[in-house]
Amino acid sequence: MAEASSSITEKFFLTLKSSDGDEFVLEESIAIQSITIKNMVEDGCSSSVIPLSKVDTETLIKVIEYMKMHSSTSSNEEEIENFDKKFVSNSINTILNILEAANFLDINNLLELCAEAVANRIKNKTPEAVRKIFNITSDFTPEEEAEIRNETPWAFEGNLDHSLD
Amino acid sequence: MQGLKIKIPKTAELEQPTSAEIVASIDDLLIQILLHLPITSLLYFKTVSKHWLSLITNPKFSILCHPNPNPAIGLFLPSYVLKPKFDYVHFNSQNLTKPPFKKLKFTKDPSGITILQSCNGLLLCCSNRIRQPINYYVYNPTTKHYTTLPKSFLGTENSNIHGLSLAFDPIKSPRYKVICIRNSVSSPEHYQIEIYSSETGPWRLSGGPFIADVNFSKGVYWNGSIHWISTIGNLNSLCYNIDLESLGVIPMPPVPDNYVSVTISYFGESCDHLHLIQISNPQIQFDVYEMKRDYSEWFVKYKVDLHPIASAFPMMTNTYLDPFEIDYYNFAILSLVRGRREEDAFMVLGIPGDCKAIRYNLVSKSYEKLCDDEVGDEQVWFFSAAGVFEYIESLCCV
Repeated sequence: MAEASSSITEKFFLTLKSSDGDEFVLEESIAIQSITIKNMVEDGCSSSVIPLSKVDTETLIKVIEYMKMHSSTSSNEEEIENFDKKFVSNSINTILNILEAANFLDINNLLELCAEAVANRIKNKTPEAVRKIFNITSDFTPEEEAEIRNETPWAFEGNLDHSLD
Repeated sequence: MQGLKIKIPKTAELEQPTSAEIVASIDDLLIQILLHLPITSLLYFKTVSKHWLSLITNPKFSILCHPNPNPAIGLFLPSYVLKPKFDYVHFNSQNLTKPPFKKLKFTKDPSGITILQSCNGLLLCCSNRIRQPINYYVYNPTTKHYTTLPKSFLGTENSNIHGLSLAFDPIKSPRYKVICIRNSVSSPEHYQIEIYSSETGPWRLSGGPFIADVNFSKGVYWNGSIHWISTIGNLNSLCYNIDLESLGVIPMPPVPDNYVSVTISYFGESCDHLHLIQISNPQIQFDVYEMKRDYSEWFVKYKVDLHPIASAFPMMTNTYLDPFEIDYYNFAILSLVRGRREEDAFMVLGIPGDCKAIRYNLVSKSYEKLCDDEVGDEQVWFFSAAGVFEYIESLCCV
């Protein structure tokens, strides 16, 4: 915050407010990786606090971390790659929170990163585990489900992962 | 310490949907996730819910999964010992995935099942027998789904089938058509075309009886038409436009000077390009022709010189023969694949010996051995492109 208050004329700062009411001050050049924020700035809403009612504090911290790393001119490709690798090692629920936020904030490369991370987490899981993760109730009758399984029984061979993370 | 992190949710929060639920309810987001999944996962996630099933089986998703151009990734090499079985060569030597199948057992066919044609992800298959009853199938080797084609309109013993061809292009339509070349019943020395559409159903006649001198057993689908050429004798051609249901001819490339020993060594399609290679044996310098989309001419797309490969793999040369004899070199052009980028284009060559299959880049001229463990004792050079079938991944329905 102290950093934010320094008055360097060529840098503009924005204040983002999470759904929990916490405020974060961020350089405009970093924040406009979010197309949603960029549009707000262009529409002249940047003078006041930008409320992000769909993003909680924990998620916003992660998103800001990501935007800082990906806009920083000092971080090289290897650093970014390592950061991304560590970033997607968060729990699947955290990644889903970030994915939802990335969709709302319209940060395409973060959305891609999270979508791939979710896919990697669920690819070896059972359909039952996937249902639990996404809180989906199966709307198939047992007969219908058996029929689809029989269409491609070979896809159901091998050891599947029943865990939820 | 763990306990400190637990937030006690307020009543209002309890009713809020979780991120997981929100993500699962936005099709665009769910599709983004599904696109990163391997095909096996997609197939078993069809049972998650009706919503997931509808997304995964949607033809539009199938195209997103395998965007155009969708090049072949491997090759099925049939061998016939009692019942047909298939060796598989993957085009990426680093890839160690299992072959999609060794035998076609998707349905019980007492004489076994063999492949007639590969077309943009689907295989046209049939019973491995000469006499009736022959069943014809359209099979997707990626999803393992198949359909049995209905008996044809002219399904009589006295009208020989000369060839069936599949016309399928998922970019244009998720439906496919199959055409059948038979003897005409009314005029037995003429041919007759029948057509079947997966959309509108049964076989019906298309056009009248006609005469032709081409090999109907190997049709190549490109540019909305099936193309056939004569593989022996004079260079003839015939094409049949699927939508217009009209027959025509296409020009053939210029005949080289030493006309006697010229053979058409390759005729096929890849990523919406039609290619033809003719070789004046025993030369191993040759041109790869590509057809212009308006059929105005074959132009030279690549110039190939296989001498470096002949030096690297001595088994390719019959050293006991005079270098001018037409059998001096043993090799077969099995496949020609255009990649997503211009510089990805390569040929797959079959040669004698332990190495068997070589991937030769048509632009950089570099070459590498392809994974040969999967190939049994078959001598691959003995094949030709007409006898092998490309594997193209696709989630399209049959």
